Amino acid sequence: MSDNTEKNILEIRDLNVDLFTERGVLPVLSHINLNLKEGEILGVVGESGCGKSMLASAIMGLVDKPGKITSGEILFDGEDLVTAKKKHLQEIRGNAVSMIFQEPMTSLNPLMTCGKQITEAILTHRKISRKEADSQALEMIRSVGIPMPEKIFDAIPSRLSGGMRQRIMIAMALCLKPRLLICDEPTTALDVTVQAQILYLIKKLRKELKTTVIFISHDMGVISQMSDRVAVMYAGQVVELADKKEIFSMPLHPYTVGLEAAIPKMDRDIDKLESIPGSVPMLYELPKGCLFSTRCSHCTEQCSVLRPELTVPDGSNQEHLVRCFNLT
Amino acid sequence: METIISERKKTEPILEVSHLKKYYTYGNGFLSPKKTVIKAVDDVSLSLYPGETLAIVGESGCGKSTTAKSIIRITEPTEGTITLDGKDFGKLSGKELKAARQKIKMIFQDPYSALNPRMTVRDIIAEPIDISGSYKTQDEREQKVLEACDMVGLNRDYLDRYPHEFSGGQRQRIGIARAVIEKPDVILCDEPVSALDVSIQAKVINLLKELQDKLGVSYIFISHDLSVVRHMADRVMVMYLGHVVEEGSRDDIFNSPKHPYTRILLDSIPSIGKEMPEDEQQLIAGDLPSPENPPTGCCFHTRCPYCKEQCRSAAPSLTEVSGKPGHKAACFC
Amino acid sequence: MTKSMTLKLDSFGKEIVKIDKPHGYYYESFRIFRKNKVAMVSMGVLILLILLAIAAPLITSFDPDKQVLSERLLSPGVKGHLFGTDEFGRDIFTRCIYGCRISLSVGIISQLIASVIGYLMGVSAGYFGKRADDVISFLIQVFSSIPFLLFAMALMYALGSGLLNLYLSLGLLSWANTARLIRGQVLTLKQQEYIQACIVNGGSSTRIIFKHLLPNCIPMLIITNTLGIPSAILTEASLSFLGLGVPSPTASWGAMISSAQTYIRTNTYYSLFPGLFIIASVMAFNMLGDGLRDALDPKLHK
Repeated sequence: MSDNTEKNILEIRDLNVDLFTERGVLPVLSHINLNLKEGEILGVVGESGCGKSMLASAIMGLVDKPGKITSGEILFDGEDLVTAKKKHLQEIRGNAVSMIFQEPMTSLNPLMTCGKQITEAILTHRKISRKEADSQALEMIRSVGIPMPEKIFDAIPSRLSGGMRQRIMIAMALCLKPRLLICDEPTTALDVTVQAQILYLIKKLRKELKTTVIFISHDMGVISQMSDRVAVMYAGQVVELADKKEIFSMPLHPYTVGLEAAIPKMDRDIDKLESIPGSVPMLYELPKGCLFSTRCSHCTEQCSVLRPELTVPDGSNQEHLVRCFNLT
Repeated sequence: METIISERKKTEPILEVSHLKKYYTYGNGFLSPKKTVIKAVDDVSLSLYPGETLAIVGESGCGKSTTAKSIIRITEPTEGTITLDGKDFGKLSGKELKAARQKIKMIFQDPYSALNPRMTVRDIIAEPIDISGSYKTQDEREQKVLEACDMVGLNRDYLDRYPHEFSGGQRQRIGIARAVIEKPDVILCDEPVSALDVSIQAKVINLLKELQDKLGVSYIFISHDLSVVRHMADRVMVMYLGHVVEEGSRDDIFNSPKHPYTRILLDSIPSIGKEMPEDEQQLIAGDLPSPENPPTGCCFHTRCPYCKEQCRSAAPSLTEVSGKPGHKAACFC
Repeated sequence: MTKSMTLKLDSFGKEIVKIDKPHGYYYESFRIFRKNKVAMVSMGVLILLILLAIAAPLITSFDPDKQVLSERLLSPGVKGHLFGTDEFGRDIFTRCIYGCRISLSVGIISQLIASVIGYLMGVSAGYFGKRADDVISFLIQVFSSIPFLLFAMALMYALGSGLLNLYLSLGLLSWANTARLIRGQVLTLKQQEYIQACIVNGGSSTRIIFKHLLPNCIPMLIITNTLGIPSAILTEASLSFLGLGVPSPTASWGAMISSAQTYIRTNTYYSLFPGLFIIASVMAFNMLGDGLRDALDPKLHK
């Protein structure tokens, strides 16, 4: 790729999603700015409640009550998905943008055979004969590494193991060769050996199909293996965004630093793990200033009053963005 | 806090389990006489020394949780002996069992289901002493609860609150306080941190280590997360389909694993800076076989890249790796 | 009524979560319940009915059972009879509010009996399992397949009419539904790790059943039995209508409607008023039950 490297397939501009609840309007995502280059894998990492799944829902146009996109744009190929018509959104969804969920059982119809579900997905968006769709579906099942695809084609999802179900899910998500694939914790429910297979498969297929991927996980290890770039999220904000190598070798935001120090290492002994004091603030008790200020050891006067912007800190390259006052 | 460690000889195991088996039998309905037997735990032996941590690792369905539940007799084991502090724990009943239960406790996986939502934190933590009746006055009870609180770093002001007001990490602290209030010799930790977020997980791990130093308690630490196991354990047992496939010191297992399953398990963990294996050959193929219909011979042969003819017919026994006392593997290679 | 929290760190870096007020489960439930207007109105109606029942002699100067043959079948409002009089010259309003005593007590006491039997049966089936479960589940099946009214009639014939027998037979009739629900609830609760923790600590079955399972079953007991009260009230009315309820001349809504049917064309109001009381109390209990179900749902607690 030479000229195309600069082309953004997805641009999220100042996206805000609020939850309208009894406790008031709670910002579940605030001021999200992300650009996705064609063909890259963007890892999104964060602890539970940081809004990473809501981000996926927002891109898919699946934000439901009590949540609402209050401002911002999600540009897919230059076209705003926030203001797009429902019908047009349905055309894009599952066709050009597709998603893999954490628990395949909840997104597969338990009464329909695996093959039929994939065929249906193809027929919704493509005007081809059922026979053709069937053969495409079978081909897809074969390509996700399922042994005896003909047999699995006629099996209902509950007959399959967790790993196999996730493969079917992947086959369904990729059967229309989407340009953007969102993976929301696709391996969290799986065992490590099966997880390794699935991660390998996602990486292999996206290379073949040249799909752009947003990979969401809470596991830093998985993110490190899968991504080209990484966005770290905290309490509904992106706090750090950088190239994978950079974010893991020299993390800048205190939260990223703390998160990495909290993981036991496989290659060296540590006597006591570092931990981040306190816990993630609830959405209804967010601090006034920087969202991380209540747990940050570098917190200054400024931090507890003002919210920092996502900027390039001094002495860093243009691609490394951090939301912290103490670095600029 | 007095250390109990010095009083006892470190060479004698505090807990010894031999040939533990747990089979579940399911009827296939009213009219069919045929019964399905699932061997959840098949011939597991272990010994736990005072003050050490023995980790049991394996994937879901390998029988690690059932092993713990059988040892502590939440479910009655089908076969095998359990010796706790010189007493045949597996055969005790009534008052003797109740007394022996003061020495062995458990920490559970799900911080949400481990605490009764209708009880105050005080009553939850005091439950073990309420049952054993090891106090005479309410003041004494309160004293013990406060001591347990301090041990786990739980704010004393929390005692009148209900569990739903706490985050996962705090709830796990309450569960730990309940486990240590009687200062047991052995605590079984069943995936104590896998439901927690990374930053909270670190705190709970640190707390468990700190308590071990203070109380000299021994842990059986069950986890599927190998990096946590590496951080916590002195010795490690790897289980697969109800069998122990390899056991040894932490360094034996992590630095020179002998069983192919252990090796693949270690290769499969994604960690920071580790690149994904280039070709699929390094990954394990297939899924866990159904426990209803386990493979003949070596339990791992269906997925093993080094499977030989011999592996299909005969089951290898757990034997010592030459030159390494305490490092055992169940493999013909 | 929001719970405000502040997050601070003390000198050791430990978390201090300050919550203004400790909120128990039932406090939270009440907070939700109070917002439900329909349920609050229902509760108001029920409190009114209960007050009427208790204070009946203070509210009306008439004797519910005294026959005044000179004042038979008067229209409402005549001679100080608010709802008129019946065929024996008794004040219908007085008999209606005295009837509250019967209906409400039958509804509530029979359901309390059903709760106790239902809980014990359900918990034994769910907790002990095996043989106990087989036997109790069979009993539940048997009790729920017998036609309700028919069984009530048979029991009342066997025990003889009377208030105490009415409580007992209606209680015996409705335990099966409670037991089935409790059994299911206990089967899920049994999987909870705090039950296992209690076993690990050497807790006895009695402790588990009354200390851990009961408090977690109480919301369900409240809901099912509140919703069971209306059907008990209706059954009492039906039995009294058939002459198998409380013996005459004691006032009961069902018995009043029964004797009113002869005069339904000429004196419509006679059957109308006790009917309205039945409708009001049954609807109020139903809506209260619905409100309680919503309020006690742990998913709505945050």
